[in-house]
Amino acid sequence: MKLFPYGVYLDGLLAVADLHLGYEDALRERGIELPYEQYPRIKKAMLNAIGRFSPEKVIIVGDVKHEFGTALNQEWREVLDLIRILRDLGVELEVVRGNHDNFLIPILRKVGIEIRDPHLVEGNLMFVHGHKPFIPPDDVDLIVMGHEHPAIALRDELGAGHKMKAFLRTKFMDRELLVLPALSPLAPGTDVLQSYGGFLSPVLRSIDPSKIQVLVADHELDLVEELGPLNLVRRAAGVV
Amino acid sequence: MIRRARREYSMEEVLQVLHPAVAKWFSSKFKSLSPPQRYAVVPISKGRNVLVTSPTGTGKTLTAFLSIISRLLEMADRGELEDSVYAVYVSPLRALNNDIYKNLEVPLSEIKEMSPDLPKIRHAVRTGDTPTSERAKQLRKPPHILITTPETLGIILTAPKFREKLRTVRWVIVDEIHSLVENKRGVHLSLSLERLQHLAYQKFTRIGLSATINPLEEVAKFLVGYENGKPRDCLIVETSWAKAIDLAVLSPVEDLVNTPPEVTSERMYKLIADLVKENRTTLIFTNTRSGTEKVVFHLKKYLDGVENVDEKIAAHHSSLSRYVRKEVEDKLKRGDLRAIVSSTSLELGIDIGYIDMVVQIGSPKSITRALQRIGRAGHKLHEVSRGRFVVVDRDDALEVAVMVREALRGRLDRVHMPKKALDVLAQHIVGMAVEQKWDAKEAFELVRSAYPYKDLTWEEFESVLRYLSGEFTQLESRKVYGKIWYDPEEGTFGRRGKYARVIYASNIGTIPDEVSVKVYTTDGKYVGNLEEEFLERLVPGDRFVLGGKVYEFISARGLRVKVRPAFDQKPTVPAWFSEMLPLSYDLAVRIAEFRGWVFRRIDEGVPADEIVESIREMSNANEQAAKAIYNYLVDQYLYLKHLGLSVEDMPSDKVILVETYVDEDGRRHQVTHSLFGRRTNDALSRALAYLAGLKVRRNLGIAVKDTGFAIIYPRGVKPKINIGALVGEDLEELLKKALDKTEILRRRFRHVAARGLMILRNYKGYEISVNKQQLSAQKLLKVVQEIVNFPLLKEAYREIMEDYMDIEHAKEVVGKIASGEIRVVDVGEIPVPTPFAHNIVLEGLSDLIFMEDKMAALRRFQLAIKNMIEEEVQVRGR
Repeated sequence: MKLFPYGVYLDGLLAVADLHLGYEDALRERGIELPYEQYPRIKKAMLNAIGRFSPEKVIIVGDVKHEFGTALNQEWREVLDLIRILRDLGVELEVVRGNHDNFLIPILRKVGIEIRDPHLVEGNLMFVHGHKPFIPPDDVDLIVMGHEHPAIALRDELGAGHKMKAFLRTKFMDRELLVLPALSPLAPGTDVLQSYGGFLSPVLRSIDPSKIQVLVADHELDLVEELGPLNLVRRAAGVV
Repeated sequence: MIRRARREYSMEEVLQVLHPAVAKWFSSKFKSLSPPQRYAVVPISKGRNVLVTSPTGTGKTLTAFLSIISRLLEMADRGELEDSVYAVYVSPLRALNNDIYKNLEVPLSEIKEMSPDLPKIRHAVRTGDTPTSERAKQLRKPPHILITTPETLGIILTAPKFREKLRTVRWVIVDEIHSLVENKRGVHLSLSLERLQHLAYQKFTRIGLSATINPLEEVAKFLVGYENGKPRDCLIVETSWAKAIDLAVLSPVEDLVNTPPEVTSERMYKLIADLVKENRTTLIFTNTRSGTEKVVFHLKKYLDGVENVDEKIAAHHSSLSRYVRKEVEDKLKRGDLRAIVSSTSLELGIDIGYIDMVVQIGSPKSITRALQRIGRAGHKLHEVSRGRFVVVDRDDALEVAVMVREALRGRLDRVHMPKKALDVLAQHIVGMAVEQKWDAKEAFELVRSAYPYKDLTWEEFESVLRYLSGEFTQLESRKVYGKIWYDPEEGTFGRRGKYARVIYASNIGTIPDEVSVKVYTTDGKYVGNLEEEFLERLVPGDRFVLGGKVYEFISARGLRVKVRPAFDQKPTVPAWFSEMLPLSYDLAVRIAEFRGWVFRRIDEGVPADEIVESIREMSNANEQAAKAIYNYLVDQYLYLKHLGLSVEDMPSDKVILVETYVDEDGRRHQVTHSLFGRRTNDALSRALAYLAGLKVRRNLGIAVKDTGFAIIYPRGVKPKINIGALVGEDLEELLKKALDKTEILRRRFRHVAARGLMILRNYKGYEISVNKQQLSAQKLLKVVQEIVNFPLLKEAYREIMEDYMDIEHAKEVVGKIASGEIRVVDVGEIPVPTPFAHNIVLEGLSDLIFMEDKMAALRRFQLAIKNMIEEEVQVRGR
């Protein structure tokens, strides 16, 4: 298993989560004009990772696109472009359904891709978005999940801060569970140090914070490093 | 040409230029002319642009309307008066509009009564409150005189049918212009006026009405605008002298440091109560809204002997409901109140009836503002404007004493007028595009005829066109989301899509949505709301008062704040911080100069009595105030003398003193005594903190005051540079970098993005919550920071650096340090801060300058976790 700032590489499989393509137009519909900067950055990150690991298959663990209620022009355009690029590179694509992906199905169907719902199992690996509770099949050893957008915000004694994305690693029903950071640059993430209200994902809510390892992931510094168990990391950040 | 009026006209001459019916009415009501009427009525009747500045109650408004009504009646006589708008009256306040409506009703109906054969001149108010039925009526039978606000004027310029009725405009009156020139509402209005001029058949006469302001020449140019690169003609009628002023500085106690606060406060209320008792109606200004309620509450206790005291004293501020305010205003007009306490809401010219004394608690921070407030007293002409400044803080005492001296000498501080605001420009370009297809160069010239845009470059103008036409969005989306189209080849632009008109009309205006954030305790209990601007200044660990209790700030997420009760601890941040007015640069420099002068007198051995007497004389201070000021300065002198400083090295307008001390937590505060006002100090301190942060590779805190600033270093880190290091640096670049990750940039950018129509507050019938605006703005900001010369980001930086801060004067200060005109004297580390530093140190932390890089922060954090884990292991091992 190789972690890189945007996702994970596992034996020929490259997994990323939470692209939220079309976010800009979704905001535009609400009267907020955001320049289109997200897709070019996602594309670049994907191409870098593919160049580095040469995977046979790319798995997007949910939330490929953003808008719940419809498929926007931008979403059609960018999703199709991404698929075309992967195909040109000879990389197979699998998509697991996320809570934002309602209207993704017609886009995928156009290019003959069947969405995996509620999860995808490849050998002993399970890929699931994580917005609903689930029970892993028997022969699964590692679960890869998205949805949570984990991140940590560091503050010093004066209160100055940096926000960095993070992976979470833990055990769920005796299986390894890995939570991926959001690939979308427009989703800076949910600060897990501050989330006193609890996690978004029902599965994570049932787990004791002292059993959850936090790994910081930052593409600017190009690093993924283990920090420690969540309860201690929270305490070190002075928030508990 | 901008000229001062020299010619004074007699009653006969004035009556001659009026319509006989108006002349008859006027002479039946008034025996003589008021000063502005003597100078301005005749020029206005000749169609000249006039700026009138004069205190309240000198008949300014009637001055403007006498000629207008006369001309309208003459047109009626000739059968030329049509159902169309001839005069537009714009004022910043809806309440003032209603007053003006009533005040015009009197002469109009009385003239009609005296000369029944004349047609009725119609006048009507149109604001955002005007119901649709009334608007429809105004279209069917347009008022000859339209009374409106800057925002509504902006909207009716694009109203397809009503705008046709505006083509006949011949006069425009801008009332309370002094309150518009210094902000973006005024910038907005300046463009509306030029658009109205473009629409109108003929050149209209512009009449500006203002309270005391400086420099009048610039305000006049703002009023009249430019033509062919030169200001249009304007006559300035200054009759500020029309009322005499009587000012004094009062301190309730002699020793403002060691007297227990309860005693000071008790004596202060007693002093104010005495003033109230001696006068018929007293207007009391506090500098904060929360202050007004407090003063009303306490003052009542001291007004023994006043019958029915609960009914005789009231608060008036913008947080009160419109209904309550109206009730208070009516009472005031009827003369039922003995005292009214206000923050800023009564500064502007709504008719407030009889006031014979103005009391200002604390410093109003600018000579001009002081005079504007004092000018509210003595409503009738020939009465003296009386003002008393009550001070309970040594910096305030010193400040107000110099302020009164300057006011009596007639030396006003200069107003800052925002220039080239690209967000306001964007709004107007969309509005213009809704009207017609434009030749871009012609539109550019129109924009440049507005004073704030006279120096706008074509590149700047075009960058806004490119942004609005969706240049940085993908081609396919432009049709849907672009607000205008722009063809650079042909040099034309126009409206795009059916929404442009709606977007313009429903998002016009320059006042940002107020945000209040909800405050919860760690266990989720709701405790109240905070203003966002206040939140902007908080850092974890700060303690503040909310609902009478002290809480410690832990974190903020979106618009939700988490706190911990700290009831038994003292607050570290004053609750009214966000409402604090900055001290004007001009006044600040004069205070610095005065400090130096007193130090020299002390050094020359002049006896204390003599110095106290000269302070008393110059500012009409009471004994206590003069002594408090003297003691403050002598304390500072003696401390510095003890450190071995000679008088030439003591802080003044020529010397900036720098001192460093270590607080109980081991943090070093480098205090710079730069008496230039908060706006200038904000710029200086952030630039310096950025530079200093580069040297020590850590995040630094700053505390900014009017009298100086402090840079706060984390434990164990020593300052390596002082303000002298700014010489030779590009201040603007440093400041830009220092602002990079700050809350203020995020907030100001949200305001700019909303004004520049990038974030629509109203869209397709939905109102977008401020919370949503805020989250979107954060995302937007991240993205646009990578686009070179993006106009709205450029504007956010400009607004912060030029309007909120004062980079121009900061540059001037650094220039003077470079030339040696100002010397920096650094005394290094001292055990106890000097008296001048006390208020700066008490300020706490104003903001942070991010310097430490991500990697260093991460490594420090990892170390903390490692220690934590080791601790855990030890505890378990035991």
